[in-house]
Amino acid sequence: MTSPKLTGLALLLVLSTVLLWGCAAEPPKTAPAPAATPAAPTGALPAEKTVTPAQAVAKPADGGDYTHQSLATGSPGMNAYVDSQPGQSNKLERSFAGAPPRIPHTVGGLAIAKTSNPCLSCHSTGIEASPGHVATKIPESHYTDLQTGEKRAEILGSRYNCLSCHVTQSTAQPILQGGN
Amino acid sequence: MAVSRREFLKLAGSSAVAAAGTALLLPGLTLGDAQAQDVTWDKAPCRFCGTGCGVLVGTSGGKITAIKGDPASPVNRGLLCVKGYNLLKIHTARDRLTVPLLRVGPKSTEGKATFRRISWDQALDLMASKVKAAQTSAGEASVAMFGSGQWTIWEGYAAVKLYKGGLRSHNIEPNARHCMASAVAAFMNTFGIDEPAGNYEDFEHADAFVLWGANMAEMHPMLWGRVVDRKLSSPGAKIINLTTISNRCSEMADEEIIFKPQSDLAIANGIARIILQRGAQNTEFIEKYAAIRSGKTNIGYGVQDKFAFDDEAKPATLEEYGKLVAEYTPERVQEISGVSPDALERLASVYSDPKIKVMSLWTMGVNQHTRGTWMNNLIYNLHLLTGKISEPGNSPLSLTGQPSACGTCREVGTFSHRLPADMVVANPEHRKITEEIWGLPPGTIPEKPGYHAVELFRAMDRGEIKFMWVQVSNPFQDFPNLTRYRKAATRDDCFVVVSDIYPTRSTELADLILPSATWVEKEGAFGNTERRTQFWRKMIDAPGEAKSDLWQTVELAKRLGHEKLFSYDKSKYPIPPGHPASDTSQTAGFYLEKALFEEYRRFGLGKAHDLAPFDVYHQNNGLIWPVVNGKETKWRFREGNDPYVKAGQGIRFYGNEKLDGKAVIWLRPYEPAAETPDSSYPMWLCTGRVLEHWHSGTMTRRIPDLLKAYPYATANLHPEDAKLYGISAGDRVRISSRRGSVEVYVEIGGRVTPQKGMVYVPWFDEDVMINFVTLDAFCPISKQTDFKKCAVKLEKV
Repeated sequence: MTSPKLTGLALLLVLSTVLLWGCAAEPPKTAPAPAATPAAPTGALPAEKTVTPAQAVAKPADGGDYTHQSLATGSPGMNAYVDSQPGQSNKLERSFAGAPPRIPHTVGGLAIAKTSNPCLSCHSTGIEASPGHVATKIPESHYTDLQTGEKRAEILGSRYNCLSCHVTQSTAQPILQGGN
Repeated sequence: MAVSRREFLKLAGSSAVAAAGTALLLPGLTLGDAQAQDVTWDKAPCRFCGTGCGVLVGTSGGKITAIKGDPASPVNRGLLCVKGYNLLKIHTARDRLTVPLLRVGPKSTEGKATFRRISWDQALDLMASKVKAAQTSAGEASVAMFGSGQWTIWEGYAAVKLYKGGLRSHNIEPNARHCMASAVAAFMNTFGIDEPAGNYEDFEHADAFVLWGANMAEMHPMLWGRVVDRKLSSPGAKIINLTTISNRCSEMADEEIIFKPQSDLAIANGIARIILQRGAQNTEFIEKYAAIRSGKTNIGYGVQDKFAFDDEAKPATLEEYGKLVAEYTPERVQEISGVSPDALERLASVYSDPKIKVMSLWTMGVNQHTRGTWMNNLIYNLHLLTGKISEPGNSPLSLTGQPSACGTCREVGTFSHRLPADMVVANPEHRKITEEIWGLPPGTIPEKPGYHAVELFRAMDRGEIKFMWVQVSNPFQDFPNLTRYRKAATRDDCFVVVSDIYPTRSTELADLILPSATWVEKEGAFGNTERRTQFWRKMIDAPGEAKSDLWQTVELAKRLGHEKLFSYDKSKYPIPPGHPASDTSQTAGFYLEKALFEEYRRFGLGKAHDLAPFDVYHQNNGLIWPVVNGKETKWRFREGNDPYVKAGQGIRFYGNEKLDGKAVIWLRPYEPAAETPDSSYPMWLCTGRVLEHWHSGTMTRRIPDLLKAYPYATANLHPEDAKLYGISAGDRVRISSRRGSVEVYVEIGGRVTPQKGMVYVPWFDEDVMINFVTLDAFCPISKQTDFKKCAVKLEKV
């Protein structure tokens, strides 16, 4: 995605633009009284530079243009998911403290059904599925009623659908470069 | 009160902490993480769906540094879905809008636009001049506002007050019109009062759950967790997934019943027929508590401009009702729906067996339906015929999609025809009450309702609307038949203002973009599906010059001479010492949120819409209204549970006093969809959401974990259709309707598989604007749009 572009401009120009574009369909008399504005540079346009709206705040006197960019890239994408098998993949670091661990392997063909939950077969015990690949063990919290503190032998039913919180990984890169 | 880390750990249950030692305490921070930071914890409801999960928000250094499910919340009991955990990052993407931006080029539906930074004063002065000019040249109603169920209660209230009481324009609508207007219409014409009788505790009392076209596993995951918990912990508990698409709920269900689009009307009537045929109706309940009515038929689809419709309730008898449903024999139901007579019998047994407590659950499948009000009515019919309502476990529960669809849109009444507390603008008494509370001269509020959402945007396209202000919504991605409405936005004679936190497919069409504060950057309140009102405090500052929508509305009001609407006795509403005052309160110099809420409460007091005093909600995890004498009402309409039901009345649907306190069983037939597949457009298109993304994806697609989990919208097909059309997974196809087309990649065998003859495309992706394809047909009663059914063709590209 292209970075928002900001071209420095005199605030006088900003105001004239308010009049020209903002009120294009109406006679100029309906335009707002210009608000008091800080002294602004006039004359030649400063050289083009690239800043984000957030940076514009840091330099309020600069003014300038902002090229609108939504998340649209102009082309649809196809979801491609990692195909490593359970027991063969490396753990992913949590994105932030408290983030539910993401699933580093494929879940294709693994249906969480009322009679059986295939996730539990490895993750309830945290077995070493293959050399160096230890399944993340489901923590105490998942067997604990958080309201009463009561411990249960089975994972809480409300946590049974693992995929509500733990999500699979596509190979897609963030649309918005530069991170969140 | 902010909760310190130590207090929080104490709150969270010392036994759990002790048992866990230094390991993971809760689905949030480790003890080490928590100790490493000076984290301040406070509570808030989640920003996303209508479930209303309680969230604990940890802040340090002016930033949100931790999120966890609130164990004290009766809604989610300490858990969150993946979107909830990622609340941490909804507001931090680097392209956050932080300054007012004014368009500097011509408008184009292509969305390429350049804007120039202006000051708030310039932005607000410009808006005021546009409003004045519009009202002078084109009348008071030429100014409009479009919001959503993501408005906080006071934001929606302030918007309604400014528009209806100040500007005298009823052209204010929420996107909730697309979301649950059918639910509201049916609550009103069945019970005479909005919102469900039961609450989430019903999940732990029910023996059977019938999903009427609701993929709860993805759309209401924490409520689905409670369904699953009940299923696994209670032998014999049964889930029936009645759906047009095979989905994750099917994996947990005892039975998946696939039905053809629109045929739910026939199925519900077919169930009613079986109940009556078995003599399984609760005759005593029906005689004492139900009235029977018929309405108009062949009611149309609203596809043409200025479509008008008013239903007409005519008294009917049980015999007449029986005669109508008798037409829905299992054979006929099968012909219409594809559901086998055996499956229909099993489904009917869940309702007809008096020993089975049943919850019916539905959302967009039923509501986004050109017979959405009817379909809501038909589900209530099943509960009223059998008396399975208003008691723990027997609960028709209309789920909501947005965090304050109930609290703001419905209760405050941010619709073109409504006022607070279920009142309507067409009723002179209701206008009078409103004018009195707002301190307005009699006759201020116009009697003619404004346009409902679709008609409002059609009016914009016709040139009738000169000023449109969008808050907390993304209509130019979300509206059906988008081509027309995006074109409307580019009219030179309509000034479009969009307030948002990120650049979207709507801000790109705006004349003026206003940067908004979101969620815990301001003080707020939401009302969820189960009538629970929840508050939160401001916890962090909004970036740059971003301001809350409430601040924006109040500031515009001041410039339009309506400052009085937001002037209160400052001494009565001081900002408490140490209170993290919002931008609005800071500017006002008093606690404006509290003043607004205390005024708003007056509408509902004594009218079965009672809310607790403002301060109460900051001390708890929300209360279910009506709150009478400090006590919430979990199950309405039943003596002993609901203070509005008098001793000896048993059950009283007191919203319908004109019907002697009876709820209405409606005669509603099957009628076909607005557009059905034919030889040119041979497939159904159904649109919807996915677990990881919220609505149009503007927040969730900026969060790396959520984007990576489900980056793009795909077209999901049945394998046999793929074969039929020579399409393979990963192929790019063009999906076209009579209105427009999109290109999208095909997925087969993903988490959803539509029935044969249907393609499913979610609408969160800004590159797959599926609403170019959808049809702007709506339910003539509720005016809610049907995003679930139109006819399309597929071509490989």
